[in-house]
Amino acid sequence: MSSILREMQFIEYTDRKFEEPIAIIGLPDVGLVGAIATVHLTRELKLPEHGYAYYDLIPPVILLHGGELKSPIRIYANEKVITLISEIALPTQTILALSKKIVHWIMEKKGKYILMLSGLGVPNRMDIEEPKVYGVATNMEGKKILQENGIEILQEGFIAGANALILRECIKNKIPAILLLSESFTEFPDPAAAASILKAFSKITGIQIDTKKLIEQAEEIRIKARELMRRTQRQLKAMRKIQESEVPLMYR
Amino acid sequence: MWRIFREIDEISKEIERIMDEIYEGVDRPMWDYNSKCLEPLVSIREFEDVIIVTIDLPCVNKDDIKIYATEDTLTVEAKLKEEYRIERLGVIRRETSFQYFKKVIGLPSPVIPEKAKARFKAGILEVILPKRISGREIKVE
Repeated sequence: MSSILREMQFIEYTDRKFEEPIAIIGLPDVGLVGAIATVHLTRELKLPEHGYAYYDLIPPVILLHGGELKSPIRIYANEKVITLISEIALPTQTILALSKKIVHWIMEKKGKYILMLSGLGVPNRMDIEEPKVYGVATNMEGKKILQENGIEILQEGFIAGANALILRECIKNKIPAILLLSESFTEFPDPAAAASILKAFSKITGIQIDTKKLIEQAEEIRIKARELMRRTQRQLKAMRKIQESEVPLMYR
Repeated sequence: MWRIFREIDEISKEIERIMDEIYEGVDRPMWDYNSKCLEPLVSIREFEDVIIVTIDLPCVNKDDIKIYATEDTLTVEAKLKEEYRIERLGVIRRETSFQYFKKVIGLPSPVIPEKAKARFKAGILEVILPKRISGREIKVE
């Protein structure tokens, strides 16, 4: 099968000259936190559409936005910031190809680092007013950035799904990467958790993102994102996301 | 000869029924155009003595929620603060609006409906249903 299957391609509309960009990835995941945050960030920074992902195993869906056909996995960028968004839940095979592609593409563009935004499902989320944000970094510099900005570093446990694959690829290729995880609902879209993660993002990157609109539109986002959340939930189960609540064998 | 065809027909109907069961609630739209109802997202957690059902109900006031419980189902109906309007369903422009959230939830074990408790915070409804425990305690000798 692999012999007839082509590698994932990123089709770019321009030959933009990047200046050590940071890449932000927010794929549909726990509470859709990363997806909601990355879409908001893309809008707030008014990033132009830069390209899209092309791959045989992307689910057979093409989107219509304002009469224009769009790929469900798209790249937005200016010279210093790149965002990757997906408007559909991604199957494991696609995530595997996407994680390899994004890391190698960022290497080509001489990216500064990769920043992943995601949710960390907590059972008592209903009682949490302001979700706490945790961090994971692939190198000492990343850990220092997290510590200097008061973001607690996760010490033990499993990371599953798309973030695990991207982190694995970053470690292999020595690409600095930081994963930010906000406490969130697991099975419900969580715009408040997305707002928390964007505050942490602003702290560590110095790029200010206004979350006022996100909070104002939170209820509407929760209604609109129900179907994507349901499909994402199915994919998360397939990717053993449940394992994130387990304790690893090698403990200190 | 006809018996074989009848049996094949019965088997294919059974396969269809099982497939419907498997895919029920997975690819079905989460709205009903005719009844103007939206289907909410639901999370069910089962513990030793209780079942906790959490339901996402954005744009809803506490006083507009109705909950009914039986031994094996929980029905939730909630009126939206204001009509939720959308300009298109699918790719065809078709302005429509929704007024309610409604969902009948099958419970994984029998519960005692009279002892159920509910709370509502920031658009999230949580219902705690004590399980009906049948059986006898066995003493360890």
